[in-house]
Amino acid sequence: MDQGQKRKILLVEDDKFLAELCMTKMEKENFTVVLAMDGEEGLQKIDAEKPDLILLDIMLPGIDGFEVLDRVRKHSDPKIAKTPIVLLSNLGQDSSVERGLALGADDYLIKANFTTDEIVKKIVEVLEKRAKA
Amino acid sequence: MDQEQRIRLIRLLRGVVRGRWIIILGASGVGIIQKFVGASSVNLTSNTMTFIIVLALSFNLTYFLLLRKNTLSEGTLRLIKYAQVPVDQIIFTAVVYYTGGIESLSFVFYILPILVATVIFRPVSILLYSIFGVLLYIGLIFLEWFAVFEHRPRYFFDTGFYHNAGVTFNNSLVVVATILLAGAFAMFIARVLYDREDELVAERDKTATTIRNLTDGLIMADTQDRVVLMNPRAEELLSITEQEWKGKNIFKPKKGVAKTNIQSVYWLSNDGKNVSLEEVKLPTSENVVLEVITIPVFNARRVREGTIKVLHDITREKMIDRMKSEFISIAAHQLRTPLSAVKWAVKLILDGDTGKITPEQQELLQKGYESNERMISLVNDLLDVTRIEEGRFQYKFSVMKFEDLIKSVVQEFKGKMEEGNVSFALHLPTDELPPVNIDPERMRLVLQNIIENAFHYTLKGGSVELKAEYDDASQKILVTVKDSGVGIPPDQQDKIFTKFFRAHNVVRMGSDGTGLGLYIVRNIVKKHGGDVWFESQEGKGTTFFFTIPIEEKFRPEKTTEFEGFMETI
Repeated sequence: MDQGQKRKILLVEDDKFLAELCMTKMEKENFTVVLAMDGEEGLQKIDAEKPDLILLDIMLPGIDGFEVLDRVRKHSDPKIAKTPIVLLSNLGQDSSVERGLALGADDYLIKANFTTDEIVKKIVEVLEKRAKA
Repeated sequence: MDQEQRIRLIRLLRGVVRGRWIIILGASGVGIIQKFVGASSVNLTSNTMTFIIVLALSFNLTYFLLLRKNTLSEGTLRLIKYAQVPVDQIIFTAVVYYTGGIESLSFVFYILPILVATVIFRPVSILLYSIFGVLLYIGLIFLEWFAVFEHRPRYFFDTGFYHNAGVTFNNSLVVVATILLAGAFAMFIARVLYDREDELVAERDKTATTIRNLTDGLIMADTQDRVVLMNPRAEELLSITEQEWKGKNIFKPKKGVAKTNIQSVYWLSNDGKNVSLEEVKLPTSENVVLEVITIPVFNARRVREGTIKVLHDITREKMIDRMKSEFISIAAHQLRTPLSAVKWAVKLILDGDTGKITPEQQELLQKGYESNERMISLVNDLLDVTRIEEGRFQYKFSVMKFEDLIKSVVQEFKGKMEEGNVSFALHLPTDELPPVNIDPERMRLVLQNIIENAFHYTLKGGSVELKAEYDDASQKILVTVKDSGVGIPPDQQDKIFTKFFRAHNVVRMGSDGTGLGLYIVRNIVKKHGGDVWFESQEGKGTTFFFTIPIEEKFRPEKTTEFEGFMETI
């Protein structure tokens, strides 16, 4: 990955307002943000845009975040399959977290417990961890 | 006739049969002695006597053998019952005839069948049998008078009784009166006996009816773990029939073999001295959850007699609990979405990402932000509480240094310490604390909660002290958090750890606080095998203490699932 280039984040979130707030902060921190409003659109944009990281909500219309996560991890293109994914949701049950991590998510954040700042910090952490690995 | 009545009747008749052996023995003895002396009953030949004795013995032997049979029909049993008195009376009448008829003294034997009637029959029947006996005797005397039966004199000499109207009448009257009076007296005795029995039966029936109609299941087992009683409701709850449990020993379930319903209910842990209460999910049924109360039974002499188990169906309650938890869970998650939106939006403005803001705007927005944070906190607490209640509050234990956790949490409070004008002191021992096996995330909550409370309820100029030390004797780490705050009023102290409770004196402070924190704290500390308590004086301050054992073995392993319990045996 080119250190100088802006990194591309795909945000899959059905709540427009939350998505905009998130986008605003991320763009301020020098990320390019691509938005998808549901799972299907998300999958399409993954193929089209090949993001450096995916911020994935779980409660989505149509197919849910877990389904998207699963499909990405099973993607035919190995590079895409390994895309860092951070689950972003307000479902906090242990079972959801476990399921998400078991399906291959890099992290699981509860929206209400993090500011957009902190989310960006987490994204950077995940990207750095992946870069080292 | 039901099974129980049948058994009692058989037992009674066997008793009568046993008694009759003695009577036959006695009467035969008397007869033999008389024959030997030769002065009376001269017309009773040896053959006749032998015949009568053998006849009596045959009847009794027949009764004896029939009553031993398991397959005795009800008809035969009835026949035996009704034969007891008249057969004896007839045989005695024959004895009276051969020992002198009107001259005979053997009429005294008629008392014996009356005694038998008293134990078997009701008063009216006793009287009827007495009358029958009278009729037999009168009939005999009559037939003897009219020579239908030849008079057989009792003695070698003539007494002159026979064909003497006056003597015959008088003597017969005495015999008849005696028999009837005996019968009448027997009626009264029988009445007393029956009344006593009826009372006992009514009492027992009252108890039996109560047990039978209980809406909870009831099982009684003896000291050999045989089921003595199970009421219909218990049979229903455990899907078991009487044949399967009556008198059967409930063997301890073996590993690898599927437990039966009754095994899962019976073999719950109980120290044999105290009453215990457990929840059990039945192995054969998807949803049925029972609350089982085990009561060891001791008699008046404090000797163990067995065990009683009460089964209470809480399936519905559990379902309602589950629905309630699910509802709260869903509601909480739904609440989080708009809360996140407000959080992010306000933060964005506060961070200056949407442009410069005035200090006044800053202050207002900051207050709004904090208020929102409190709501998020409440929602999180609510979710934690429902998770605790549902048993879904999972722990991930790992070994670590407790000081590290303390320092990390204290760091979080730096801001508060600087702004609140409340002094803080941290006391850690010079020797390192031994490493503990804890769930760091949960323990963090505990520390955060207690420290937060300390700061919160301490006014300006006050102090908060945190101390951690290791007690070698109890092998526990003791953490003390002392504040010089408002304290907890004595009448509120026993409710401090309950859900949603906030003491009166702080509610009026108008400050936040959900009242859930300490409930969660207590739960977490207990799960680590420790204890949490406090000392407080209103107006002076509060000190919270909690302990964490070093050894894992102090941690409670108890689960309510029977599956899990069995594996620990």
